[in-house]
Amino acid sequence: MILFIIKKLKREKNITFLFLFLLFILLGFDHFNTKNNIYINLEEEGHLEHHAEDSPCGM
Amino acid sequence: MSLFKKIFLQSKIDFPMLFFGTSILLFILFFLLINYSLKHFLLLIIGGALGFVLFHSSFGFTGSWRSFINERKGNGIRSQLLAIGLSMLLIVPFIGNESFFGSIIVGSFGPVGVSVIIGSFLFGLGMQLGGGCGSGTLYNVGAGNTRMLITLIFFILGSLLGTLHLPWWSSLPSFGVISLSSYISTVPTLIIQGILLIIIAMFTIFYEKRGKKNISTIYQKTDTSFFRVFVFGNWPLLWGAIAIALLSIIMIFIAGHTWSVTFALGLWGAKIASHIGIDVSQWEYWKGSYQAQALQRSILTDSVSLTNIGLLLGAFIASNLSGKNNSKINISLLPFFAAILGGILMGYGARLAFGCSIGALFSGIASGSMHGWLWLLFAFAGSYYGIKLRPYFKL
Repeated sequence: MILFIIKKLKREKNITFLFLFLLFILLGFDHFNTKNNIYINLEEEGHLEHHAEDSPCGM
Repeated sequence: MSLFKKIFLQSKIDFPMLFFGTSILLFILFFLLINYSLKHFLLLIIGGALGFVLFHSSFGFTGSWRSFINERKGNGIRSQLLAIGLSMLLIVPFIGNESFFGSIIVGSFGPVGVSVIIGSFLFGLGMQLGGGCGSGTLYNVGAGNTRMLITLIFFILGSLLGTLHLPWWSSLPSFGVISLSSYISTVPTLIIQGILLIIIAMFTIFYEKRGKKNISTIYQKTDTSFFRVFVFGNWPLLWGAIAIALLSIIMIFIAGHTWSVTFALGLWGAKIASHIGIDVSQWEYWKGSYQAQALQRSILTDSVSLTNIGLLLGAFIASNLSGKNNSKINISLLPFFAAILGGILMGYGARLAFGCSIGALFSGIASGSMHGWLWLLFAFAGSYYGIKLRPYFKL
């Protein structure tokens, strides 16, 4: 796997490959960095209604 | 040799990259199921399906609006109107009902005011320079477009700046949120909006007829087998419109809200800013309960981020299936600057306008919100001027 990654980056200069790989790493980093917040909020989620004012799409 | 084997041998599949993309997708899916919930798992699948559909049907707002203005070709716009119309039929009646996971379904609503006018105009201008709208940028990045990767990076930066300035823009004159269904109930909303969509479609046909003999269509029958087209691409726009409408409807029942793209880009920018020491949690926008929670939690809990990540991976897989993923660095200076400018304008504009071509236009109109119509008008005007600017950037 590591050899495959190095080949793609060195020979083919595959930028999307690099971007997806970095995104994958960042997601992992963010997950472990916010781990303590996850469980509290997931528990809260069950009790909260999704208010229109709090929607990601629009107001 | 079986037909199935023959089709795969004749294909241009990039197997190592396909394996890489599928492995990442499966790993994140498995991770979500173990650490998060079925809802998060399903949202990533929907995102992946959207990326697959968008790439294979080349469904995008930027190119089709440009084709209409430059070449009088209106089939792209008509496919978008069809997708919006189909989504509207099931979204408007279900707003306020309970989703599969217990939350109340909310539509995409924004104020009808100066902020949306300026924001949508900037977005329209930016999408012609950047080369894609919100979803278009993501699926093109997934498909290996290097210039769009620059656009995406600056889209994120623009979104972050937009979140900083939004409170000021929101203080400008506005009529507030105008939801048609709350004024005239559900059925009249569907009828009035349906008529408006048909009028625009008729206008595109009339405009196209004035310049050409043959009208472009959203469906053309080919001799290629269904399986080959479905897996390797070149979908008719009709397939794309129907699939996108269905996926957006499934999304509201799972996420509890309509399809959105740009909120996540602002969130990613805010997360990166927080990690480098900028305390965005003190910005007024990020003090809102939804935004503050999203900032505290992992990106993997944010429904919009999940569909965006799925969209990227879905397009990556689709492009490798069709052998069209070309990720090599190949970009000249002026298009590079256009990508930077386009990305910033789109990111900033999307926050001011309460969404992009998906969150404000597609989901806004499908929810019966008047800001969606205002967005359409001013983003189209912005696109017109963006197209005029393209030659200055050698585009």
